[in-house]
Amino acid sequence: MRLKETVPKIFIVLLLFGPLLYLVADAFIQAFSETGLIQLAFPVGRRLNLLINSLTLPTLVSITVAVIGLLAGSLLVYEDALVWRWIKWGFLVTAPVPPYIHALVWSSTIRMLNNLLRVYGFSLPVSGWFMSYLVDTMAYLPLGVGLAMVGYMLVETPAVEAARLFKEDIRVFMEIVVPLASPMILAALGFVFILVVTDYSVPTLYSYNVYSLEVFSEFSASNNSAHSVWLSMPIVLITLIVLVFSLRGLRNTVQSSSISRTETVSSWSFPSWFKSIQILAATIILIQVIFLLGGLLLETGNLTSLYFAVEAATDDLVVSGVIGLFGAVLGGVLGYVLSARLGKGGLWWVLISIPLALPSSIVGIGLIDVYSRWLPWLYGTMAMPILAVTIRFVAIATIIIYTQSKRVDALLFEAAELFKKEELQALWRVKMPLQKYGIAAAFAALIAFSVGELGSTLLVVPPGSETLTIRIFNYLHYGGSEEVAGLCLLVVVLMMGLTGIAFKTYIGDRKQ
Amino acid sequence: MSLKPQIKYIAAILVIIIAAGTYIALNQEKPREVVIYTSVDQIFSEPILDEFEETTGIIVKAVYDVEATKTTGLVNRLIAEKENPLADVWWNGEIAQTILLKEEDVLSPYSSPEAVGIPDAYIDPEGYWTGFGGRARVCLVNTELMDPEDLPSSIYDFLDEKYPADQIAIAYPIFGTTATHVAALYATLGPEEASNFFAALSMRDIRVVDGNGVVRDLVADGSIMFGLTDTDDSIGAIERGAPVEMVFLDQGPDEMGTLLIPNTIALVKDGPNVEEAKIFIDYLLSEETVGELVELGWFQLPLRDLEVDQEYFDANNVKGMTVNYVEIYGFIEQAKREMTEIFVR
Repeated sequence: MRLKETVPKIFIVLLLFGPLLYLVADAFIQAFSETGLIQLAFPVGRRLNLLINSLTLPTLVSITVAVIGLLAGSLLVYEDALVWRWIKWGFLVTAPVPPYIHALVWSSTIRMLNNLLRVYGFSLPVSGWFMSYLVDTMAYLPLGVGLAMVGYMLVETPAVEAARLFKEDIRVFMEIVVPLASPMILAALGFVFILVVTDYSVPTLYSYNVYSLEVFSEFSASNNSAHSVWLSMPIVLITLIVLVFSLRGLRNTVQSSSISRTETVSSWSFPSWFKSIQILAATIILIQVIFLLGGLLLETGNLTSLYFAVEAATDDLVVSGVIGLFGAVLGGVLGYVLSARLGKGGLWWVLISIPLALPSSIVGIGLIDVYSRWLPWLYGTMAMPILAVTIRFVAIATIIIYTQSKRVDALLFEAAELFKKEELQALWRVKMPLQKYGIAAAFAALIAFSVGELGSTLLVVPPGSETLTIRIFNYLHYGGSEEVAGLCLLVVVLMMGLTGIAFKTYIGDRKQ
Repeated sequence: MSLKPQIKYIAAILVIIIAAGTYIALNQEKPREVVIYTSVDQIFSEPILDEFEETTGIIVKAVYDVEATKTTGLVNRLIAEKENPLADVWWNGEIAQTILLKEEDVLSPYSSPEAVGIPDAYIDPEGYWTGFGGRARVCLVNTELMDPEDLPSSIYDFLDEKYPADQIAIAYPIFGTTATHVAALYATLGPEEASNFFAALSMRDIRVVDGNGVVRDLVADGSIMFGLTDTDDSIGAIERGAPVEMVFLDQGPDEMGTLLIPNTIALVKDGPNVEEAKIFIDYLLSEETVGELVELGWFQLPLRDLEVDQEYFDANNVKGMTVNYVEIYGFIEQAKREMTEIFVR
């Protein structure tokens, strides 16, 4: 019995974390022979200043995204007006568009805006902190708002309706609904913080120096992953602290017993000032979608450009689809398994923090080191990029599912365990339906991140294959903005297709 | 009971299918293929690879690097894969990373007969790599923002107070060809003078941007007066009709010249398709292919005596820095570390 439990655990740890553990072990071994290597983990002087500066951007971006998620998410979930119903989930299609593409669109937009503003002797900065903040906020809005919406959908409707009998709506919302939805909103805050703190591409585009650039430039200078691993330690530590802090409230939340809720609280009667800021927040999402898609459509120019972009990238579309779909399935399944472990100890939190905090190229190097050496029959196949995206993003799926599962009445799980006829019956007929929103959200997030992944995919993609994202970045350097825009639209369509299939298959099937 | 004969038939059919499949698989000739890793922009390299495939019938499996990973992705992949390489050929858009791969024991020597006419400076003495045409570092200026008599003529003009600092840009000098350029200045001027020069640039607070492509775009759209970039990026802007002009720096008789950056091609050690790799290297080094790369806009300097049309400038009149590329490589790590100290803060 013990063996039956231990073997799958070891398998999962080796599959997911083997390459990273190898890198960490290698970093420790090298530290014995290279004096001073450990010092890289303790930033001082310029590096310390850089690290401190680097924390401002992710802090403000994640807080902004969480606040917009809190306000706009509630409007999109509870409001039934036609305009909000249309964008309710529709804005998620922009989720896989890499932040770098958001940067292109917003750079052009701000430049145009400045042409108008200069008439009044005023202009917005086109580089530095402001642009990094704007672009990162817009890029991660779909993730933040999407998770906030899942949080609101999990709120116990009867409890809220009961409270509304005795208190005014705004107080019920602030004192009951928001605390109940807060685990998902805080999880979103944590993810956005981590994704921004580990990214150097957007800040460097606007000449804003961050610590993750230091990690990458060290890797570029030394070509030694051990240096980058040691330099990344402060980021790993920060990631761990942020994850633990953002999910700390989970244990205190009221548990839900509902299985499949289609009705939500409706006809809220909020004061006009609150309604106004809700609409303002939702308008920001609308602006994000309209400017991104509109910018891409304008840049694509005409259908001929789009046709040529699609024709050149048909194979890449298939490769991206395969990686996105299989990465989401594998990551979803492993995330589901790992979510059950998160409550059992700190070691699992540390393990899932590492792939989130390490630069993507280092994750790729770890995969090559382990798989090309010990599993050469697997190396060089399409399994490698699927594994790469799974390793990089399984933590996100794990935490989303874990967060939602904490909202489900544990008694229901226990009852299912007690009365099940077969092992899979409890899982398929009780546990998964109870967690369907969490699983669906994790699946959508995995598809979005997998399709947009670049750093580690590039290192392990089989020769002769290419993803849409790799092609987009290639055209980007050349300055082929029409092709880039056309391909980005293709990514959006791919995302719509894959997420649509996933939601229809899973949620549709569960409803039956 | 009645199913038993059917099962036998099905089993017999399965055995026949498996046996036939195995026989076909064993006797089928494996299609000839070659695996190319390249840091050359896909827009330029893909047509050449397609043409090679069409001409020779050898299937090309390519992996392209991207600027977003600062073109270090494939170099690190090659180093990590060296025990079990997937690649046969490394086609690099510059030279320093290729020398690094030689040092890391990733490459194998191969002297192509097609390399005839390429000067010795561009060929590894031990035959591990061949340089074969390339680009140059250039100052791209916006002609609407600058008068012809005010154009910069030396790298030191980047320190001249008459040009506002926020009107000048370079790419982060820790990645790509800009890093190679810095190392070349270390080799030419000496580490101290070169380092002081960049410290002064940093003190002036000129714009340091994400890549040469961004420098090009800033100059092209009139956001800045001039910036340091590569000839291929500059030509892209000229072809799109931007009001820009290329200025080759330090071209006077006593001046050091500009850095010429050859492409390099090398055979990967223990790659799975050695013969096909050699055929590809020969194909790429041929005069026809080099001519085609010039026409495509990837090369501006054939680096040997070739009859090719170069409409944007006279390649024969560009004075290059007199440098030894291996010496440049020797300064790369030091230069990158010092540039990080100076610019990433």
